[in-house]
Amino acid sequence: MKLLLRSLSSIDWLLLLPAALLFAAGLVTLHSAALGTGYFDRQVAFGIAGLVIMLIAAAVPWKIWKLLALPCYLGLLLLLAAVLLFGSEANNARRWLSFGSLSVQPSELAKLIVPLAVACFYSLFDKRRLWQHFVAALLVLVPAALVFVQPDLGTALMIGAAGALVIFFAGLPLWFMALAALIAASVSPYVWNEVLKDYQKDRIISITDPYQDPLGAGYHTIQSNIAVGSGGMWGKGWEQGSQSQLGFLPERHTDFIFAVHAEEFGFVGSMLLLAIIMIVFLKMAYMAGAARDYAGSLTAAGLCFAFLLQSLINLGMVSGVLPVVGLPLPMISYGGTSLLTLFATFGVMMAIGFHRERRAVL
Amino acid sequence: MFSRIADVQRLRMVLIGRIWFGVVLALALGALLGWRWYYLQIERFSHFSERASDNQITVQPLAPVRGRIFDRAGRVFADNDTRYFVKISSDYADSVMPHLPAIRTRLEIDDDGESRLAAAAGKSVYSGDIVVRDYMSENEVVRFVAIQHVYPQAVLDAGMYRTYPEGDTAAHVIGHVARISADDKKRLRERGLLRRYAGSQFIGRRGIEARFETRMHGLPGLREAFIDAHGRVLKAEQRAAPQSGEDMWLTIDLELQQLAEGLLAGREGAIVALDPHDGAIIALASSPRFDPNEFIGGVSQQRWDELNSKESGTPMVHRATYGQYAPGSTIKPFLALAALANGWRDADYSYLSKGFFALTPSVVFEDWKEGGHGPTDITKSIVRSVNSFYYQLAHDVGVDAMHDALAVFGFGQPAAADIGGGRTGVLPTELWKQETFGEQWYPGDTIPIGVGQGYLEVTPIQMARAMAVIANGGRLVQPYLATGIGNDRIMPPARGERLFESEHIRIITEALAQVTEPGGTAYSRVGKDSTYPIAGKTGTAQVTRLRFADGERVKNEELPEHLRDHAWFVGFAPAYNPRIVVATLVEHGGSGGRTAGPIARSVMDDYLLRVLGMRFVEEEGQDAQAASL
Repeated sequence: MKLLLRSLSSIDWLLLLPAALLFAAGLVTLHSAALGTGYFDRQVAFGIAGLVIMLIAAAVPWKIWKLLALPCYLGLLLLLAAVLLFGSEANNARRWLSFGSLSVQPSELAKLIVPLAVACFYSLFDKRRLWQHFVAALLVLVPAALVFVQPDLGTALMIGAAGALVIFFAGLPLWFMALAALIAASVSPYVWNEVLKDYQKDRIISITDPYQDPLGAGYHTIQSNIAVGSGGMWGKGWEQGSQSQLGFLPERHTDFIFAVHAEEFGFVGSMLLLAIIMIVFLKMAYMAGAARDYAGSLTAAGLCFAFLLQSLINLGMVSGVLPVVGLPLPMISYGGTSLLTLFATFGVMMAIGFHRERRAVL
Repeated sequence: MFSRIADVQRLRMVLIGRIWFGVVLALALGALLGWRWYYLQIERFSHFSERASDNQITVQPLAPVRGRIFDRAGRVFADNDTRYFVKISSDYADSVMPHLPAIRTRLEIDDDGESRLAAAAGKSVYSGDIVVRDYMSENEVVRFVAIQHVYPQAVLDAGMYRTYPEGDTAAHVIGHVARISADDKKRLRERGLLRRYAGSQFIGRRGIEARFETRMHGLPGLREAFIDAHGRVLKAEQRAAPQSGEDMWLTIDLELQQLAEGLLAGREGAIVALDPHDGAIIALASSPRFDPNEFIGGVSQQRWDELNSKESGTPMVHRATYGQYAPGSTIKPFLALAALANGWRDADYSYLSKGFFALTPSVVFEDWKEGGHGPTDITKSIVRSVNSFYYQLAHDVGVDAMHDALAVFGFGQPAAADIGGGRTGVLPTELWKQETFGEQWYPGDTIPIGVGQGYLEVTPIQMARAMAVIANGGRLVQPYLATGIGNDRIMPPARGERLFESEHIRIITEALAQVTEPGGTAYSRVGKDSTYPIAGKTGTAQVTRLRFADGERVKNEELPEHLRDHAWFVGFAPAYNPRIVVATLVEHGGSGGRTAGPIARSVMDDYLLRVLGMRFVEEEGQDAQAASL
């Protein structure tokens, strides 16, 4: 009872309402994108479960979360290792852990746990030393590498980015970033030639000229550009998109769901969706800045920018300005683990915002 | 203590500063995204809108039904039949591949289909339907239908295909269709006809199928189809119906053709039967033959080599129009007629045959009868086939004069009007030898021309055409096959001018008629027991010139088969009111009268008595009158 009261009082309605609006908008599009399949119903169920998880996460006091960071991180590493060993294979990649009829994608959990763990690590120190950043980088790279070898380039990059954001907000020196950029520029030819697989290179090339291979690497980009562009100002109407409904659009209920949205609701609908995403983001950014606890502030900043970054990358990919990497659109794309993780993220944000502990001293 | 607070405060300040920076950057990136959408959705809206509808609507061609080919009585040479096949959409290739061994127990899978299926299994993009089994037998269709529910991805469909119900009958004449090749496409594009072949898989190759391709193929129809990304047709509207190709009617009599081919069975040779008055080809047999049905799906290189090998008798060669042979004695009536017409010899002329013709004391050409035939006029020279008479004639007039005289009968030019020409044969002149061999013409080259040997070569159809000149009273006709296409009647090619005086024709005709009468060279094999008079001439074309061993002449029967003489019989019937000209050539058949003669007689019997239904009243002498029912 006390827990329920606490969880209700910890709800930040100004975050929950825009987030719920975003989820609702996603459901509308998913209903159209997944006509004749069971995805919509399952997504609704995941949404309800997500709300419950969000309430629980919000009810857990932030100081407990800080204590949970390390066990969560170690648990995540175990899960990721388990995926590589026992994961179920689909499309030449092991990404899923199956528990009976339920399958979990641990790499999605990493998007929440990695920023949390890194932020908590930084909060142990009052002064920044360069070695802290290296340790933090290690904390990020280990799970990211485990996801990369699955292989799941998109999610690995996203985990790396979320961790890097925390490192950035923790005060990575500017000169160091400049140096890193220089090094990155110098090793990129090696990465291009030795690390990236051919299909990954094709996706990058196909951005500049998708018509080089219109039925291969360029197909996704071409078809999603057509879907978005043919939406026009007002869109073709709900469930009226020819690109989506006739199956020309690949992966329309997951990574390319925004193309369905843009085709059916047009420029106006797209801008409205972007506005809702921005409101959720700005609210979280405000919470990050306003949090009383430094670790909370850092965690919140990492989570909120990771949320925005993934949204922008997905939208950029669907709009044909970024290469096709397998990243879903947060809150909109179908995907249980991703959705639950996002709701948990909002819960953690609320816990951070609710944290009223007086500053340790004075 | 304060320093620690100051440190934490400093970190907070850095954090908040960087959050501000991030927010500004995020808003800027959001604005860029909005700008991109403005570009896609507002500026380029019409372009993408068009592309979206292009995606959904395809214009699909509907292949026309090919025209059929009939004989003169409407019997079918070439028809269209339903073919059943099983196809699998490339989308399902992935899921079907593992079940292939199981499917194979109930349905034979074509190798080609399997490899295309395997290729499609690796790709995620739709690439059309893959036919995994074509030309299924009824049995197979029934067996497949029984298991279809287990493999719903495999769809049974039907289409049209060309069939030649009579198999190899008249194969060279009819030709066949084959899959459209890259070369065909190039040729069609150059002629601006490629669009007519949208949706078609086959094109006429060889014979009538190739010659009348343009009209027999027909015009494709169009339908507009709304499709999804898997190529499934959601809704289709027919915009234009396909126009069937036009049917063809030929002059050939299918039954007579089959009879003629049967007479040649097991031999290599040709039979040409013409209507002497207009050149209509009644039968055009060549042996051996090929089965055009074999060519529809394409033949393997190995099979193709086999079909062109000497061992199998080169069945691809149309001997009736492309086989070139020395005419032998069958050339004599034409030289005789020319001799009368040109005044080289007159009706009263008599030559004394002593058994040989000596060009010089050492270069001697012999008669076939030792000791010679005695006094010989034109009639006897034909009836008894007196060689020395023609040696003398050839020697007197020379090769160039003979060239001009024989050219009038159509020798030296392709004979057929509408079956792709045929070969010209060889009608030599002095100049021809100079140009061909770089050697001058010797007097010794001239003499054998008189008996149809030496450099002279003719095709069987040229022979029949030349004989038609005598049969029809002196006009050169053009052999033809097509009498009608679609609703158009094709008029026979125009006949030539009358070339010879009827008196001269009468003399030669009577001589030819006597050939098949008692005392003639073809009585026992051709004329005997005939209810109607037959005019004709036997011929024996030497294959090799070396005919002497131990100073003795070797008998033809004792030679190995490939060195034996070719046998000719060329004639027409009834002799005085001719309705059919027949030229028969049997390769290595030995003596003309013995092998070629009976074949020609059978063809004449069948045509006159069965096809035309003529009945003849037996009378004394040569004046049997034809009375048709």
